[in-house]
Amino acid sequence: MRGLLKLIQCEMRKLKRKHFVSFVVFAALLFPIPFTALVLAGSVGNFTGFEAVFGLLVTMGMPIMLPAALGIIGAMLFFMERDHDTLKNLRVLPVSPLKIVTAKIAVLYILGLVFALATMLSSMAGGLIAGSELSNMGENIGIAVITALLYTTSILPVVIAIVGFNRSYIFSIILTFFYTMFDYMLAYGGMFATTDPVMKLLTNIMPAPIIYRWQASMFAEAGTAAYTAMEPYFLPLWIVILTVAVIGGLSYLAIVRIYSRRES
Amino acid sequence: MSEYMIETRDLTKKYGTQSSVSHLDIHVKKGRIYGLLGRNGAGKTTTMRMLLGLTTPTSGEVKIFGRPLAGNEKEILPRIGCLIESPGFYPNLTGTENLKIFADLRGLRSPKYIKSALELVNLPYRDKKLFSQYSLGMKQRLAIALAVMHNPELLILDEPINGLDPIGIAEVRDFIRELCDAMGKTILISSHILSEISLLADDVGIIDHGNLLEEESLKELEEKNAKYIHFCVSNAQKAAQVIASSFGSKNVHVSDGNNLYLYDTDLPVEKINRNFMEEGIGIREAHLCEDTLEDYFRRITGGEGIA
Repeated sequence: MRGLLKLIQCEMRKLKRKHFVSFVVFAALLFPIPFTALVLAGSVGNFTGFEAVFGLLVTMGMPIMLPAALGIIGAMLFFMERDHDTLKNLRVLPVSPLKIVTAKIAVLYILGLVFALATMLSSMAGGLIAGSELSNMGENIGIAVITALLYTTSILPVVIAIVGFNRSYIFSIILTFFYTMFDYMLAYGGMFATTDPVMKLLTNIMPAPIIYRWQASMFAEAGTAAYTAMEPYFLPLWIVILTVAVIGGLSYLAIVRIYSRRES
Repeated sequence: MSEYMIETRDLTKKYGTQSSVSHLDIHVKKGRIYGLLGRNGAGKTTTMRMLLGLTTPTSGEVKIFGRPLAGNEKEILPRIGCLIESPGFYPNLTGTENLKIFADLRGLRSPKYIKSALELVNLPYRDKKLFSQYSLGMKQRLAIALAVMHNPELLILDEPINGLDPIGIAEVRDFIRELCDAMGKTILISSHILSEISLLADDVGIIDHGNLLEEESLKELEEKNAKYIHFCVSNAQKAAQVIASSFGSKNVHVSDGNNLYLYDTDLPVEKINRNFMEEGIGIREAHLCEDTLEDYFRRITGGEGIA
């Protein structure tokens, strides 16, 4: 376990001077600007300004930004050993492919949590700009953390493809964006706006629609038409966590298997 | 414990139907430098990768420190330092940062390990230069620093002088020799450069097309090399008769009218020259010659020479 923690620490250090990582955190801090503007311009219902900015960030900002950024960082983490021929140095220590994969995925979760923290801080700033007090902080931090962990897990199926195809960065970026946008669109349209059985099925197995069915129960305003339309599809948190954990667990096993077979 | 630090038995690696390494039996003795000599593509790197568990053998066995590598990697590999193929480091980090990653993973907490490894290869500690800005020679030096940083008992170095300038080559050669002589390290080194192996190795294994053709000490190989005196004279046939009549030796070879090769190298050259002159034979040249390791390599591989 100590060895794994050391490996995770080293994986983090390998990202030093990788400007994309800093850019992602910076983007997380900038993302609330348009949402704050939206809150300032329009009605926020029964929500405070802070809660409105936070709700928009968690339901619209994180589902797009986080998987997209983590997919690219995942490609960076897995390709760096291949591109720089450093895997041999790790294997002769020796470090097993299982530990290497586990450490790299752990880094994705750590960065997901950093993103959640940045989101939290920026939504607090946005809320203060919108003139509201910072309410329900403990609960909102919990929501940000859980959302970050769920969306980080949601990107693992893409990491399977990245590791499995072992192609270029461009391919991985295209794949990540396609997956993220498809997943995101399903979250908003798949369940509520279509009767197509295939789309319905997809919304029950893709992570973003499942996560959104938990988020919507918190951020849709009760009594509105939208709330009434979505209410039958709301899911409790434990079902969401269980479903996403199964997706994540199977993805992790697949990544380990592919990576181990190829690198040994 | 076995007298060998590395011992392979019937080691074979096949890619599809093609054998990269075939039934290899190498024996590396403790405290010696073993040079694995072969042309590019002869199977040197594949062999070394199998010795480190980086490539799984198709068949055969690898024993290191007298124990099978398979199943004992966690105990064996930390005692080995290696440089395989090109130096592999993270380009966005400095040399020190790169070494720090591997030092931490090896459990080397003190910075002295990194510092002394860098000093050994003449690279600065905590330099701000990124690995991506390093010259090929600096990259190779950093790879050697990584290999020796944890003070391993056994070093496996695949073409360690690649990319180094002549001074760098001499430095690395001295450094490797010192590691063996002063610090008692056992070193397996591969090269396609014959002169390097002949200058450095105590024992030599010659590998060609995946097969080990010869495995002997350098001294034994040198003893196998033919020595002779080459005379360039005005009449080689007459000179051969003089040697036979005056010195009783018929161990000569006349290649043409002017060149004569005498294989009895113990005969006194000065006297032979005097006798030639007395018999009216003009002498242009007289050299004591020896077949080189390259000649030997060429002979046993049945092909062209090597660099």
